Amino acid sequence: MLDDRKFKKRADIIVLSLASWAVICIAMFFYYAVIARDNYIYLGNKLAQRDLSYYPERAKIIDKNGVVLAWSEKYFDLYYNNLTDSPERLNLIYQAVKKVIPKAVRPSPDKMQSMILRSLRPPQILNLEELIYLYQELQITPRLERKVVDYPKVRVLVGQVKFVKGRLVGISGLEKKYDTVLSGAPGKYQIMLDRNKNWIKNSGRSINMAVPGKDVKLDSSVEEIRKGKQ
Amino acid sequence: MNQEKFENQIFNATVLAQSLLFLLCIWGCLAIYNSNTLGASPLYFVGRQLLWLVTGMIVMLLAQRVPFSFYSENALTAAAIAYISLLAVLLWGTRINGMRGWFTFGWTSASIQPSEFAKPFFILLLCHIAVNGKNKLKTFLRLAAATLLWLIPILLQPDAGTALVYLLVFLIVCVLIGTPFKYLLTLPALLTPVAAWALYRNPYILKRFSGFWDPASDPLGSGWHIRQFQFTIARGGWFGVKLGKAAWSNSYLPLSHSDSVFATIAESLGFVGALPILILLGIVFFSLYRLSLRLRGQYQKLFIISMLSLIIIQTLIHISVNVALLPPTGLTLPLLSYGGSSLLSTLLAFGIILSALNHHSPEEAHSYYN
Repeated sequence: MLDDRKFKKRADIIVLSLASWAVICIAMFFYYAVIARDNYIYLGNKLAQRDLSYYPERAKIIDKNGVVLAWSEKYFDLYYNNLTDSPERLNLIYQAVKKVIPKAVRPSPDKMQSMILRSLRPPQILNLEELIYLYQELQITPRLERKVVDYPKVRVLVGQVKFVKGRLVGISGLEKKYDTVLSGAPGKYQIMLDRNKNWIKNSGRSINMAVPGKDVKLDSSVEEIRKGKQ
Repeated sequence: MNQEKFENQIFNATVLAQSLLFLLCIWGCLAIYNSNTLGASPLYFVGRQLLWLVTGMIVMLLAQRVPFSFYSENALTAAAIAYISLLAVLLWGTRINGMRGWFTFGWTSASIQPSEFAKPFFILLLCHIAVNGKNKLKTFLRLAAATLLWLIPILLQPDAGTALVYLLVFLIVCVLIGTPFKYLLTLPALLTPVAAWALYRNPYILKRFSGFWDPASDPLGSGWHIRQFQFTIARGGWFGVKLGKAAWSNSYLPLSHSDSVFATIAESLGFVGALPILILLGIVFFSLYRLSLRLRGQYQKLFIISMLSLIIIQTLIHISVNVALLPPTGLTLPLLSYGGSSLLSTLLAFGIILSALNHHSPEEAHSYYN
């Protein structure tokens, strides 16, 4: 027959060993959660956090009567990034996109990045939300376009802009002269990237708000400019 | 009068255990939800887990009503069925995460892991061998042979973590029945060839050890999982980030709803919110352990302590892995991790434990050696 006292003693030894193990686990847990926390958060942030600059919309150029001569418009384009070199996957994703947007253009299997659709409309962006999450290959990219009223003399006066590191920079005419005023100051944003370098949903945090550029008001009217009286 | 008091204590311990187990399972559901809030279907895993929880609670209540004599008398048959399922899964099982350990049923997309369900039946088998043994050496050899046979199909899956749990429980049964120390010393000699064979067949085990030893040397490869445990727990701090905002668990931590669920809880609820898991499990363990020592039936007593030890060992291995104290083993946290097999088998095991506690009588004492 079992000796109850000896059995209890052995069982107590086991319980004590398990309890000691639990205490070691708690100590380690406390170490990572409290004592060494800052160090591991720093290391983790190095892996995941990225600072991004974003630019405010370039301000408008208006004539003395308040008629807008130059302004910016934002468009969104849908791209396919060829991450896998798999024609089957390309086809699968293309078919999925086509269900949502019948006008989608088939991406090229030979290019690293192909445009599927230019200038998406807001309802199309909403419809694509789930696919963007499902397929890392899909990417919606914003694009800014500078528009100028369609009079040749006004175009010459206003000048031209070009994209430099994600922002519009004036390279001639009034766009160049008032570039600093029109551009404003960039904002800073901190985001977290996941293991696949995708932006983690809701992880963004603003560090500095962007300062919008100021509209430039001219002393002449659009008619005067057209007639060369500016 | 004493008997009546004892019955009352058993009743109270049963109600306490049932309530705390349910609470822990709900805690687990919360963690599973939290690990998927940023995913495309945040409610998918937690919805399934809630279904398993309801089924599991029914299984536990039913298993508790069956007299313990039914389990003890049919221990060999149950163990044989469980063993056949372990063999069958090697032939017809599905491979998930590199392990052929599941039967999947296509029409339901549900899967069953036989090595989880085999746990209570393995312990019933060990207890059966132990209480019927007359000679210490023969009993030890029978226990060792049964364990070795049990480990082979599990290592072939390969599932080194579960094999480790089985091995530790075998040791606990040996210690509880008073196996002489010199017999236990022969175990390293017996286990070395098995370990060498397991390492030869599964080189990933060595990789996990190297990643554990120096995670910084290969932070994007073998050290990745360990690093993510450290980062996830650190983000939790004292009180955790807000519920539903566990960005690290959602984005970096591998298997955040199953093998890494403790770290997920730590990130969401912090040190203060995750510690009660150990405390609640400790309360369940001690209340049942204390009462089991007063039972007369040797089989019950041995089964309750061994089964509770198995659950606690699995819990401690899971937490040890999650706090970077052990290399990743792929073990779930009983009651809290996502997985129907793990949850059902643990609740079934608690049902049998409660049956052993509630269906006791002085006549049930078995012969046993000191």
